[in-house]
Amino acid sequence: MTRLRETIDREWLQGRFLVLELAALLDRLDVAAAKNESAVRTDRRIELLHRALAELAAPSATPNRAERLLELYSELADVHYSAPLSRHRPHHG
Amino acid sequence: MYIIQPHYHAIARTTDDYERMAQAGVVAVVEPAFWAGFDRRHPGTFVDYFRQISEFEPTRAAQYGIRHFCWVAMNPKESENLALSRQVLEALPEFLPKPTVLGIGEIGFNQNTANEAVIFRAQLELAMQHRQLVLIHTPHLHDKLRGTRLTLDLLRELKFPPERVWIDHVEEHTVRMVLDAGYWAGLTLYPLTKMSTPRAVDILQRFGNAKLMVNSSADWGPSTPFTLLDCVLECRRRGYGEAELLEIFHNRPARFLGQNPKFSIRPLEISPA
Ligand SMILES: [Zn+2]
Repeated sequence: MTRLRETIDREWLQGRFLVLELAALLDRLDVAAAKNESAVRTDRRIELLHRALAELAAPSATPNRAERLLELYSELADVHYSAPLSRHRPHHG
Repeated sequence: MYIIQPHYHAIARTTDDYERMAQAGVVAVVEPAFWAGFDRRHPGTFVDYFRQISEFEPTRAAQYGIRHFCWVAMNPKESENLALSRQVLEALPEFLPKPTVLGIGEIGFNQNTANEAVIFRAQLELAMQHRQLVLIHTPHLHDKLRGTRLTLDLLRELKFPPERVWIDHVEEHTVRMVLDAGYWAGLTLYPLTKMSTPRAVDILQRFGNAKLMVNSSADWGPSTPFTLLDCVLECRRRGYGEAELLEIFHNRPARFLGQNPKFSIRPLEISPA
């Protein structure tokens, strides 16, 4: 019980921060979408982002959410998406 | 780039900060009086603290070519101690005429308590009597919304001139009410858990308001003055031009603080090619 309490105490501020960051990021995408709607709506990465959010919101019996999200994002490797994606890929590391 | 760092607690920082800030284009820092991380017991400790920030810190900053100004006040956290606060308030007026003291701050709410309200009101009244600028802290986390509303109610009740008030640490849910009421607002950047640089730039983009300023948290906790420089960089990445950057990071604080003639740094202009 104390363990749970300690974990919540340690993690809750960071959780609040990350959710706010995500909210701001979604707002930023919406603003961009308002300017260039079709390009954003058809972007596969946006669809994956929304599926990832749904995955996070679903109740889960196992603590492997990070693994499931990485598998989800691995779908990007299956499609020919090299053109727009390569611009965002780091050149090293 | 010329940058004014309008909220900086130099007493908690080393000279490394000054050196790197000077290298990055910071020309002035302004140090509000705040909580030292522990509750002080004696009014004399505050008097020496005010001497430190109004007399000694300017000499330390000057070695790096940085101008140092300050504010004096009883901070919101220790305002909970009414007896101590009243004694500190008695000592405040002697500091107001000093050459680098720009006004009374940071004052306001921490946990929105009745005692905090008493000392906040007393300091606003003192500022009106002495025609001083005020810097108002707003609570962090879940207390912020209520604390900001209480702050605006009190300022309205006292008819405090809005252009002489800077309300700091605004976030997405409080920035609009502060700016709409005609006050200056500050976005305070933190490296962890609170306002981040990307969110701050979102807010700058959403509100093109000339009364919105940016500062870094720089105190004894997890903080760094260099988030302000990250913010300049992020603005550049999002397409802000040099004139707009100068406007946000130098001229806005220069205009607000320059209402006190002791702050002699004037807004700058980039001459057209
Ligand atoms: Zn402060």
